[in-house]
Amino acid sequence: MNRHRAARLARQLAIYLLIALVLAFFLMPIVWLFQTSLKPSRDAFAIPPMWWFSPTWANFERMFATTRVVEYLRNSLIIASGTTALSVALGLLAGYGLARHPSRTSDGLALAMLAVRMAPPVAMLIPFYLMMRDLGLLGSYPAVILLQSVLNTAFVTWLMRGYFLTLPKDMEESALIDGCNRFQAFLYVALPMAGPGVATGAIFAFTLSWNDFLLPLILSGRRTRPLTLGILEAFSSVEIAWSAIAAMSVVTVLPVVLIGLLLQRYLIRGLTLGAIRG
Amino acid sequence: MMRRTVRWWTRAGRVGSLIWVAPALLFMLAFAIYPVGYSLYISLFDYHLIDPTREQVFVGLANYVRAFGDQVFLVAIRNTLLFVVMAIGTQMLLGLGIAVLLNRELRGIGIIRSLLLVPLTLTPLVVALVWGALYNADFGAVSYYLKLLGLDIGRGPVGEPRTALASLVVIDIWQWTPLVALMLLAGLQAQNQELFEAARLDGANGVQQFLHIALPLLRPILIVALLIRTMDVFKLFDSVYAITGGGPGSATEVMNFYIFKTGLTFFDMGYAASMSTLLLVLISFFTAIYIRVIGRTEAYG
Amino acid sequence: MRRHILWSIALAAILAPTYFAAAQGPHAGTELTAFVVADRFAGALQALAPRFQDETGIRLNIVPQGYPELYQRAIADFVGGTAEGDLYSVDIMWSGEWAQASHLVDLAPLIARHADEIDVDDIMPVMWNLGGWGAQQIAFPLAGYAGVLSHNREVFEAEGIAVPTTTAEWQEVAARLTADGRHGIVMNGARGAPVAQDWMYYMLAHGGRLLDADGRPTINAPENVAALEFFASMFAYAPPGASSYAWGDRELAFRDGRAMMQMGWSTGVRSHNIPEMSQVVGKTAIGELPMLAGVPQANPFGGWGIGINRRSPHQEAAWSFILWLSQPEIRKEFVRLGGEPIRRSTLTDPDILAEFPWYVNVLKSFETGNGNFRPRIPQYSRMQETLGLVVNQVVIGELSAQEALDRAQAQLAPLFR
Repeated sequence: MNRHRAARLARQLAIYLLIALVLAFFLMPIVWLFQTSLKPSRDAFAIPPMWWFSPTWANFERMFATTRVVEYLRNSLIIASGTTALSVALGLLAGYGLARHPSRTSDGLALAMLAVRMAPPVAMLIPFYLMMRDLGLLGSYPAVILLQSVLNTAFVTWLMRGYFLTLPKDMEESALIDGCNRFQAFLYVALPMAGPGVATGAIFAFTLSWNDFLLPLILSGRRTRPLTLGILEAFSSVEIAWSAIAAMSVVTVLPVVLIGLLLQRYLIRGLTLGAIRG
Repeated sequence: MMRRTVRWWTRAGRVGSLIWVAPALLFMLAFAIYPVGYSLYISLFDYHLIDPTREQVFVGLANYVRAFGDQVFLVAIRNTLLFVVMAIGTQMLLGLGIAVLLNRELRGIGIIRSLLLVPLTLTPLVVALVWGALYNADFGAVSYYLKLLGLDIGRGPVGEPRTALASLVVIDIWQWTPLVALMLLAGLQAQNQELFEAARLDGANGVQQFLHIALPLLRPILIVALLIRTMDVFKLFDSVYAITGGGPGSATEVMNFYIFKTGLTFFDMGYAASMSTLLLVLISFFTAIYIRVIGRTEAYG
Repeated sequence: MRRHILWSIALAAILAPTYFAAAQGPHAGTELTAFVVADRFAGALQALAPRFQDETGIRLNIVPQGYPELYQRAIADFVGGTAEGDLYSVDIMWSGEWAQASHLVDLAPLIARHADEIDVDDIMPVMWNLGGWGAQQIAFPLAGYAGVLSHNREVFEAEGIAVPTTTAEWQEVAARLTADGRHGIVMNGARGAPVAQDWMYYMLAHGGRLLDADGRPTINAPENVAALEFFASMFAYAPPGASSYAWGDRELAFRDGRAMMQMGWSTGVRSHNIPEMSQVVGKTAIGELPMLAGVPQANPFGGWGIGINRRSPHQEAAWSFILWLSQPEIRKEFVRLGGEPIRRSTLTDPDILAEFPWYVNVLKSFETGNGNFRPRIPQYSRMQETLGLVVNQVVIGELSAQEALDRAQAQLAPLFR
């Protein structure tokens, strides 16, 4: 009995150790980032790496004093919100339609949507750039929002379709029998129940937009510059200001990390739901 | 009158779903399909945006011919495919392993899941910059510990042509394995435990239970994870841009990056468009394979 | 009499507002945006912007960008016709390309018109390379850089080593100094602009050139091949990661005291003596580019000009800034705040020399500066991209120097039809 117990204990220990190793691997770089943002520049690259140090706010102070970080933050927020609103609105409708009208065409459309997301942005970026130029929209918020929404709508559609497929039709059916048309059924019955699904779609759209770098690199202007571009300003020809990069990176990742942590249920659930229903 | 309206709106099939999808479809048509179509059109021209005085000459398939003769492009194709295989293969296996590891009674599973979530919410550019610093041959922490282990890292993980691409693969694995792991974990935890009980009573051990029950049940989620990740890996850009610039040599030149340079730094639009088309063809090929596989899964229900 | 007085008062009253307006400037209230590279002078410009606003009422936004991002942003702006930037910092090698494509306003007529105000003779002749192309001047000299050999004087003296003046000595010294975690030299090795531009110093040192007298490419000329072999061999004495280094990494290696020599631009010298940044404060000195025996001394010249976007709606206001910046007193302040000089008067100013004594060497370098060893032709970006790849491949041992330059020659020759 004792040997059995001991073996079990050893196994438990081994498992926890393994988990600790896994977590260490996945968290080490993030810890490094946060630490570097709090270290004075000279210690950023001390060898051997300093894991213990006395923190300072100097990097953040300098960032707020000498860069346009607040402006970039605002721009990131505007662009991400715009993309989220547009993608969710379009994706919600499309996903609902595809879920409630199953057919070969619907399945085809769903896959087509997914395929759009497969296309590398570069393929669309060049003609899109020309299009925005001809429309006089280069450098404006819509330029970035529109193309980001294209990619996000596809994904949100697919997510919402999966979500609505898991939602029982009974209440909508009874609403229809009561004389509502499809749209009213959607508005007053399905939509209120769609909260979690919408949350998932919104989180994904927001995250993807906030973290985007390539599209703003080409399409944004000096007034619409988001955080991801601001980080690159620290690369000069005389030094690579890692402390400055770290500080702005922290500001860039913190909001989405927090959102992710608070709303983690929706993130994973949304994806797995979509999977369960294909 | 109202009943007819109801019937029209609820008619299953093509028209019904189309109405709902219409806004999204129109939007995509305008801002996705049209640009892609235009891209195809430009690919048939010699179109240098940077030189407005130059005529746009129709050259037919000349750009495509040029692409296949372009050493750098061919290397880019190879690197992209290599990357996809290495990255996807590893993160699927690793993700599965972690999911299995966590699929048990654990204290603090909530916290573990939360912590595991963090990498995939990070900005890819930031991830690339952080890992670029860690990989630095002279003072990066990763290089330091590798040297401590006695390994000769030469010019560094991203400085040596042999290891550069693999080092970028590690970055992708680092950021996205948690996504696969958490999805698979959710799938595992949703599985009906009675199935496993029945199997155990029948004499099946843990491994057999896993292989013959858990894994097949996990298939839909595996496919989705595979799909999502493959889509994204083909679009690899941030780490190449931020760390290697395609080097050393052409070791990390990937298609997305090369097209970007050609089209948006040199504005050789026609040529870039042709390469984009080829990339799209490649991805469609993979899509087609996945569709067939998913189709088979749907048949299983 | 009273009538006269009344008229005078009336006239004064009418003219008084215009007096105040003149102090504000005719373009008061305009907002200008300048995209500049994130070199040291960007900070200086940012520091001067408020003063410019006080004096003229023009609000100036200086937006620093990384080097590749700046080029990208500029071309995207020009091609897109968006006039995002009214002013752009122009790297010396972009002169031909941007002039030919008419991206920027030709300042030659304006400079001629304001020649006295600008005191053109005070600006060192080599500076006009910063934006000059044929008869055009598409950018006004902003910051002149001299290519200098920075070295760790303290270690040199301790070991009794003389500063190398020939390439043979250079290699010898680098080898001798490489020991115990210390490296003799450091260079950019990263694929692309970094390695291409650094190699070009070494090409100049070997008497090589990328174009012949007729402007035709001579990429694989024997001197260039020798220079490339030399360059690649020097990596044996550089930190192992150097094959991925860009300018920031290279400077860091020198400032940390890990590398004893580096060939670089004079704008980096200042940071060698900033305590928060450097471990070698007061221990360094600069010298000239070591030359291959028999080749006359050449001095690399580089730097940045500042130009006006042809599509900018505020061209006059932009020109007023350039004019304002060119004044000797402002130039002096600009240099003090982190910029680099273009005027002889600045370079010989006692206050400046007291604070930055190495400008004596820099002045000498400017007098015989070669601003064309990196051809300022329209095809330069392509050339740099091609060389950036093959030179990197030689550095990491994938190609031989001859193969590499033969390839580059073959790829680039069609561009010069």
